[in-house]
Amino acid sequence: MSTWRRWRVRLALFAMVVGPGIITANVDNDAGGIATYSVAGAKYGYMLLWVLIPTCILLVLVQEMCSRMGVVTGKGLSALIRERFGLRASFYLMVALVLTNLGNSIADFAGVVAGAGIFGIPEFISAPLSAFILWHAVVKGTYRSVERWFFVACLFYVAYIISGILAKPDWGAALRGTFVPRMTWDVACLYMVVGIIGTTIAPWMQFYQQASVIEKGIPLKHYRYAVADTVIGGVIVTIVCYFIVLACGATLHPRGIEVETADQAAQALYPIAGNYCATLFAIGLIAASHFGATILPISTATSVCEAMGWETGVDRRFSEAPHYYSIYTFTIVIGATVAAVTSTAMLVKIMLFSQVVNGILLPAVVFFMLRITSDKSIMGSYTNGRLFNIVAWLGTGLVAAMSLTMVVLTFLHGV
Amino acid sequence: MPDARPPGGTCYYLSHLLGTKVFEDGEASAWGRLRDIGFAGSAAYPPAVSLEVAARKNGARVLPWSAVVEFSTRGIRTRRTDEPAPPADFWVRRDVLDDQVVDLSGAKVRRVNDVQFLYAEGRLVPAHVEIGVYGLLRRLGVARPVVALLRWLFDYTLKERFVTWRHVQVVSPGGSPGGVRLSAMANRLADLHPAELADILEELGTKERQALLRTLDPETAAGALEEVTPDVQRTLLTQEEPGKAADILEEMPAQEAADLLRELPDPEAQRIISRMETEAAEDVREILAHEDESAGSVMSTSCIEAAPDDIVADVLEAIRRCAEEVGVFNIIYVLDEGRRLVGVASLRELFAASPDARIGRLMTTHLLKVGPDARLRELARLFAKYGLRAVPVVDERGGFLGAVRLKDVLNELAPLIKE
Repeated sequence: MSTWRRWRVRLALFAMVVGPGIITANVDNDAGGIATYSVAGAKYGYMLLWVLIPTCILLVLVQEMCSRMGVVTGKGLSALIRERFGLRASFYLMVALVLTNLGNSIADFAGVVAGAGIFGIPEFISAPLSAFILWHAVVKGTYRSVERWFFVACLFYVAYIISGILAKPDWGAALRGTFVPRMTWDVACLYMVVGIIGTTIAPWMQFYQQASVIEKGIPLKHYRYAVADTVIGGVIVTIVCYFIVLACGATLHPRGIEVETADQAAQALYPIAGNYCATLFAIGLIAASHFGATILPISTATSVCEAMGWETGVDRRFSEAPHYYSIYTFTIVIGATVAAVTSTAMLVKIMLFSQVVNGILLPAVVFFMLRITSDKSIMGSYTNGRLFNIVAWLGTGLVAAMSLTMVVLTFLHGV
Repeated sequence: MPDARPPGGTCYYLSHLLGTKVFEDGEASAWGRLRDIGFAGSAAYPPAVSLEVAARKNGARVLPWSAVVEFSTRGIRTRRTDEPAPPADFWVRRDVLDDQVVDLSGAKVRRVNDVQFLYAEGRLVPAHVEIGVYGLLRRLGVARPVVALLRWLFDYTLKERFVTWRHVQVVSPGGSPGGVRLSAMANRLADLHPAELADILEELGTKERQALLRTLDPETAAGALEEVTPDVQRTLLTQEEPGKAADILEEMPAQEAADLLRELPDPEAQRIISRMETEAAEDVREILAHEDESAGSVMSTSCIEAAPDDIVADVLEAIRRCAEEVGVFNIIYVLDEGRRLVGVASLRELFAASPDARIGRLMTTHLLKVGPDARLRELARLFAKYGLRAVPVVDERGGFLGAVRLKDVLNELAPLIKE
């Protein structure tokens, strides 16, 4: 085979396998994500930029395990946990997952409400309307084409990158913030760090990516392309959040604005869009929120049904998969209702809070994943390497320790 | 009578049995707790042959069932024995509980919430698997209060949902590669409709799926493979050895096999084709040579052919012999010595004609035909306009290549139809 031909084959294979990692990573930057990164940049400037580097490494490790489990076993994460650890463990995990996913779902609808609010659309119209559109898209089966549109809309994140550069940040300070780990040792800062980790490596992402890898039907032989997909996804998402923090750090932080409303967060886009920054932000936020709001309920329903052994799948009718559609509908209705009745000032807090809960659940999920991916009877010759295990256990332990400290401190002092 | 169920006896749930204390006969303190039970045999209700006990000291021990003196959820009494434990076909906790099984009566994949056993005359056999919400609640230890609450609030009685063990196919490969007890039941899987079998394959994990496919004969496997989604086809084929994959593809109509091979990267497709029988491989290569979504790529190459001089009775006899294999059944294509298409006759015309008439006299010579490059769109228009059921495909000198059926075009176009 000529070199050119070999490259063409490789490219074709890559195109066949690519997707799950990049898509999952992009949904990751939903309303909760944008809110968390914006608050982090506005409040702490460039100080917490360094958090993104270890987070990126852990993200890639964790998501890689998911694709590997998916490709090797062809089973969803919750099904594997049920088979390996029994009903009780998976039941409690599912209860926790449903609760955090509800939080994320509320955050996404809060994003829709906040975005629509910039255009002057009241929440009692925007929340039910978008809930109905999403619900309809999935139940009527047009969801895949809808998903594609949201994905295109995510190009909006490029605006943050340009805005971050146009804002002429103090690059010296930014680089120091990136490579010199520094934080203030108080509950608020710890809360922020756990929030950043929790939104970047959200528990639903593991379940979702594994499910999409299976749906894609990636053969074991071409597994390395799936690794590339995961790494690219992880790097893209990290670059985007880096620039969100940077843009907010350069525009909001010096002026002492702490993000409490969508209008304030939109100011970070002023360098690129000028007076239209609010409009640009609103469009981007609405698209990103819808993307998250479609995928979260689907992911929740799939995870729970797999663990409990109920029929799943958007390709089935309501009567064929009643549990699936009930959980799906429940998640959307709760998300939209809470977002519609809560005051706007509370919404940014809810968004941030849900990301912190993610950070608390994350170590539990990763614990199960590490046990499964180290099990020869499940993974065959595709178990974790020694170095992989050391780094992953260390990272997870650190996140667990931080989450725990934060929970204890919160109980003692309040935020 | 190995297949008969033991009369009467006591029912036990696996969820209650696991963790039961195990005593040495005559001793008062337990030496371990029950961890798993092994079953073996091809009977519809296979008996327990061994048990795994988590000992208080020295980890796990496997005992033969014959060591059991007394068996109940209050305690299991065992006697000392030097007999080795016989190999088990499956371990009920490792391979069944919380795992997927195939429910042959409903043709569905189920997740097992609990297993019910029947114990009588010293024999323990699985009787049912529980697949409902009741089993989930019992495992969580809240079945009674929840059931009472549902009855009080909604007047709804939550019942257990069982599948009789006779209809259960264990598919979890457990620790051993290749799967357990699959071969004994494989013939029953073959009785399922190919579409049902395909649904089952799609639901299963990769290893289970591969193990199940291996137990099917190539013909059944081919039927099921045609029905599964392209993604599952691809994983199944690439993970199967090329020889086995070739065996399965030979059983498919050539255009279906070609469609499937198109999904694979080129080198892998070639590897499989090279292992197919010459004739089948040639047919597939012929179709693959044509552009995708053209008449040449969807046409069926197995058609009924005749010469103008053949008499009706002979042709009918020939049809009777090959009826099972042909793709295009109701039309007879009449070819001259150069294999050029000179006419067509319908099966109806053959039956209506006298047995000794020559085909050349009754065939239609006014022909509708297409080239191998004809697009599906064009074909669809042709079928709609003339109400055809099949149209012959000829090369530029009129040589007969095959025929495209209405069905083939529909198969290709159906996925493109949007609501």
